[in-house]
Amino acid sequence: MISSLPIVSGLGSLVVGPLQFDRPQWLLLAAVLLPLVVLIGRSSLAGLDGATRWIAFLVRLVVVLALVAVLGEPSFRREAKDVSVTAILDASRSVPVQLQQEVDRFLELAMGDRRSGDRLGVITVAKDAFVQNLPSQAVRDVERTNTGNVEATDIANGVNMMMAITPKDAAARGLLASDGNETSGSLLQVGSAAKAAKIPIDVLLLKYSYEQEVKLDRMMVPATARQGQVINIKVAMTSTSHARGMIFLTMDGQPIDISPDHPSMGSPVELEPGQNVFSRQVFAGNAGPKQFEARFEPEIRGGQPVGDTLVENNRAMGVTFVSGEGKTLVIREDPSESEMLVRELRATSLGIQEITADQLPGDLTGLAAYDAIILCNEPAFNFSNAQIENLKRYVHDLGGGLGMTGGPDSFGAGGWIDSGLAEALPLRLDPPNKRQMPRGALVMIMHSIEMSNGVYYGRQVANAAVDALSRLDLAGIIEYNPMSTRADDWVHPLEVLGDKSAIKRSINRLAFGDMPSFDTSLRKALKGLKDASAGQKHVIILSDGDPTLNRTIINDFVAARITISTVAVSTHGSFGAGSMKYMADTTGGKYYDVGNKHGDVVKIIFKEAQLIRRSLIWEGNGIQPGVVPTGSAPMRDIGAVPTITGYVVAADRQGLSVVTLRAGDENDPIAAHWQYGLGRVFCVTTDATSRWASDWIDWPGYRKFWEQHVRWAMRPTGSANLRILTENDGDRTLVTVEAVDQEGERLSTGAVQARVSEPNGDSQGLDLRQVGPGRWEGDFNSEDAGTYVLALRMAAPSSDGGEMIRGDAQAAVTRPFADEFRALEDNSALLVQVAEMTGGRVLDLASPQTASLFSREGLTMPVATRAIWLPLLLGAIVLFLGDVAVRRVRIEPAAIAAALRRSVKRRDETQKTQVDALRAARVKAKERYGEDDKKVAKRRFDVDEEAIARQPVRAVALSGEEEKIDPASKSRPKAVKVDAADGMSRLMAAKKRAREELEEDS
Amino acid sequence: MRPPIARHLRCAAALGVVVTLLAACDSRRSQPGEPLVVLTTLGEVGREPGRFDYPRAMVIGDGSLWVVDKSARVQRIDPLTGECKAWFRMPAFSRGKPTGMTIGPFHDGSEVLYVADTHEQRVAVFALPTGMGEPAEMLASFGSFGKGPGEFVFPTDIAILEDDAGLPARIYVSEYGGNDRVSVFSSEVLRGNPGFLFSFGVNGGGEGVEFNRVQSLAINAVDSELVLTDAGNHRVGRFTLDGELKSWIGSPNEAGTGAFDYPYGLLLLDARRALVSEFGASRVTLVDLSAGEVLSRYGVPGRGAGELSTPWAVGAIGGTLFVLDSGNNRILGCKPSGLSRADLSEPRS
Repeated sequence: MISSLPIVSGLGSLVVGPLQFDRPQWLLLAAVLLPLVVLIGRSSLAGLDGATRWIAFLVRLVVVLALVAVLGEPSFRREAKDVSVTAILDASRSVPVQLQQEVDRFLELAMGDRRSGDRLGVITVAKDAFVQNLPSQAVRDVERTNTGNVEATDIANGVNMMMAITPKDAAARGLLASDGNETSGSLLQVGSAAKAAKIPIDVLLLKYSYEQEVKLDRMMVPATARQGQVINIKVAMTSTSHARGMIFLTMDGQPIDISPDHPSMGSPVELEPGQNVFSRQVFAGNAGPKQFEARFEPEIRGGQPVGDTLVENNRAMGVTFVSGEGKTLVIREDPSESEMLVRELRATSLGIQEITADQLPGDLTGLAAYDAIILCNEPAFNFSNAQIENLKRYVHDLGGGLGMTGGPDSFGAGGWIDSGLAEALPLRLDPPNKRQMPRGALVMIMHSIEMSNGVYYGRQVANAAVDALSRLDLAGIIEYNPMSTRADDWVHPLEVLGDKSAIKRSINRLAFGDMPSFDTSLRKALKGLKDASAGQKHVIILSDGDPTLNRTIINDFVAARITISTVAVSTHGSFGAGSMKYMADTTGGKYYDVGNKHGDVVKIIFKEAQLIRRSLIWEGNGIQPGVVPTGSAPMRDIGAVPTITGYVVAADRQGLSVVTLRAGDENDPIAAHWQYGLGRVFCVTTDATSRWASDWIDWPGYRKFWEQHVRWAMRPTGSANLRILTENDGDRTLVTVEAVDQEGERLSTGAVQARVSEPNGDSQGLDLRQVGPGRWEGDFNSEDAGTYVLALRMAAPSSDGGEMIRGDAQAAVTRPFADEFRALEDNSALLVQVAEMTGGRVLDLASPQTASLFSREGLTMPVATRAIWLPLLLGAIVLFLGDVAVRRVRIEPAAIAAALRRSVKRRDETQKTQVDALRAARVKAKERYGEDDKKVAKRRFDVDEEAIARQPVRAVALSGEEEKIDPASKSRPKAVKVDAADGMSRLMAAKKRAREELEEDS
Repeated sequence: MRPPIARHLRCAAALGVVVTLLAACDSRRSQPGEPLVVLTTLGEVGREPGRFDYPRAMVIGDGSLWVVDKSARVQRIDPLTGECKAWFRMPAFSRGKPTGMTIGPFHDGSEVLYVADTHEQRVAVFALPTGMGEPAEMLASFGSFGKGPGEFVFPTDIAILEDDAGLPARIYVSEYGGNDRVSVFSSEVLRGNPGFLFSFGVNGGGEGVEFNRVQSLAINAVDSELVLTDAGNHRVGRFTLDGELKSWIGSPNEAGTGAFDYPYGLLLLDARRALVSEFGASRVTLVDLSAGEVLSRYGVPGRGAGELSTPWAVGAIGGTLFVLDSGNNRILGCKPSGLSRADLSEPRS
């Protein structure tokens, strides 16, 4: 609606009806100029008669007013009429599902006042906010497709997103349906932003209250214990009512019988309203981290739990690190890879345990049980990215030891180049540029669009394949991009990878079009690989098998000895990728049908890409590695080693690590070690079997060599006694470290280094401040659910000036469930506060019909303005000319009317005279020529070339000579001849008179 | 010393020349057509009625556009307003969604919807639906997975040859997936009886009866011809109704070098001319079938108004050409130059 009264809005703008003046102060000029115009006009316009004077006076006033208005920067305003409502729906776990369904129904029924043009958008919010529908006229109901992680609530994020997607050409209104319990973000803060943006937020209160609820607040266990020690476990619980049930306790997943008198493993408990504490003593068991979990199960009556509603908050966890002898984990796929090594190491006290990669503990807490981990000829694709990341953190953050031995599937040949663990190794796995060796060439044909998250997986796959290759290899990528200048074409040409930055950029540019046919891509791949200078040539195709295939092309690949491996994803049924199987079978590649197990694709591609990586292996007649005299602990008292017949080519880190063995013409490193973060790492690029190190088997120094390497890498056992205490304080965990020497005296000085590994895979350094003798304190953020592992290492001078006192320790802090489940009732007060702050309303979930979701009340309609100073100025100029005209041109209506009448009469007479004259001329012409008009007219425009040729040149006018009349021209009209001769004779006579007068004068 | 501004201008001019030369060298894979004059745009991306999620087949019948998309919904769209008048979801779609449809007579003479249920390896026949989301009545279906007679790997389109009484005389079904051919059935299959008559074509790219994904079929009743688009070989073929090759238009060379670039959609205007939508070139081509010549090309690739992205199908009704602009999740109604209203007035697809 357009305001009819002048109002001042915004930054001093003045609104008058549909007009807005952005510099209204200039309008004050009118107060000065208009009286001036009146004063001046009274004298200057006095000479004009009545009507003319008033017209001139008015025109002058309007011109001045227009000019003043131009100075005021006028704009034309157009107000929007539509309303856009964006619903922000709390999809977090704290809101009961039934309430969420009621909200969806509410929205569908609350559109009674929706007008044509009104828009509805939907956002769901939990840990993250997701737009389910952009504001649109077409949206009529709620469709929740992806709500993300629902174990947290960030309502503020949802409000921010609502403001971001609100259209600018409609008045905006937010509808927040939530319980008001937020675990992150600040709704009040973004509420202020919404208020500033003039977006009222209506709230739909989702009220609930768990009148019968039991919640396990925390478990208290000692951070460290000695092997066989009895430890005390306490579980703090909150109950909102009298409740009965059972408490169960597990250690590393195994149930502990905590009530031997009771038939079940658990212990019956009766809980009073408020805080309750349950306590038990258990044996700590063997060395290693022990993870305890307490679980409460409410009593069931009539099939319903009594005294409890939510099951998610019925758990509590704690971790105790039980110290013992050292433990070493050996990981190998084939037991023969580690057989000799393990047999020799078991003769020592290193606590050897063998597993395969898939048995590797999945979290840092599990890895922390070991002092060193050795990978025997293990390829990278045997490990998930998370496992690799955990191994790196195990060394860097927890101070664990790591060893990697060689073999055909290890180091660069095992795909560890560019893996997360590569940077932890004391050798560079990419061979140096100067190294001459056969290269491999790989072409990837990408068609991953048909799989869900196809873009994500497509990029993952391409990156994984590239990561498996060395800088000397060649790689290229082909895909179908309908918007590209060439649809089936190289996204990245087949070329040497180098530092891989170029191909990584190309991967980020992948468009993932729907490839209609394999043919063009295969032709390009074939040509590229044929021209490539490489040993092994290979193609990997990732597709759903839908593109067509002209099978005759595949024969050309067979002839060129190029293999094709195909990875079928999200195929159209078991027979959906026949052409892909055909390609692999025919060319000697492998066919993989991963179905919808998309997580396997990266691993497969990684493995496939490695096929061209065999060039990194050196094998030949025995050579004896030379011992580099470093004097380091792993090579203590070892002056020579036996010959080897193979190793994986790698490069040293140019002085950053200690290389102890070298071999070959290129002086390649065979053994090296270094410190990485808090831990130590060693590498031996030959293997520990008779494959490449058969002479080592009978070598007396075999056990010594490996034992010294493993012992050097193992986490040290220090002489200091460290005690770690942790305490939760909201989102943060307070850490207290106490350190005493062997005599039990507090260490007055010392350096403590600590790191915290978080559940999401990140790690951070922990600053510890010394607050007293032998006492340090610090804190860290622990808002996410999961286990936080602390690793500490300290060093302090001994009081007697002897050897440094060293020690290390671990501790764990757990948050068994998200804060989402801590709230036992809604927080409606917060929502009401936000509604009041932004000018919104509190709506009733039970009355959708009266909700008026699209109400215009209280809304500020957005206004689009268009500057009109230029047309106004032009109008003023035109009027100014009008002003001049009014004053200079005398206008008398009677005279004008008379003139008009005369004009009309004269025109009639003139027309009559002209018609008569024409008729007379026509008669005269007929008489003269005896021809009709048409012939004359025709002759007038026809060119008689012969006549022109016959005409003499008539230069009389220029030369002054007599005109020579051609006899043929006698037939020309006499009148014309007479006229011409008459004019010419007059000219000649005048000239003659002038000449005579000149002669007389002279 | 040359003033800086002059140097900048010189550099800019040199850069412009280089860019121009590069652009000239990097000629498009396929030449775009003349811009489409768009009369109406129907639909946008979405899964609500009237919106599309990568639509892949369109047919015109009963005064409406019928569109199936990757959400497995078949929607009846009003060609004037774009409103969805009815829709149903395919009964099975976990393995994939249909890629071809035809509206034609059933054995009892009623008008029905034939769907090439590509990834269910069958042709499904539905009564024209009227509900909004209710399952459609499936009147018949034939075909199962296999490479034998009457079996399919991936059926793509259906063409109905009608007899003098307007009843189906023959049903032509195209397929791909290594079993590239056209199979011909009698109307007995609609009654659940064996009706396979014969098939023709093998996988390949030769000059003979070799196909690489026949995507569209159409019958020219005047000349008793079957016209098809051999998408993977970038050509259009004319066959007798018994499967004998009459001529190819285009060549099975690399995409973009011949007359067509992945021709997907086919619309016969009369016995002589046809419109072909090209998935690869994102354009629509008017071709003289008897002369084998391209007459005009329409549309340029892009995401903007009037631009096309991987169009799967074309159809015409009421003097308007409708292009299924699949990559942009919409249908463009347009009036191509050189085509009269009469050319586009009959319901064609």
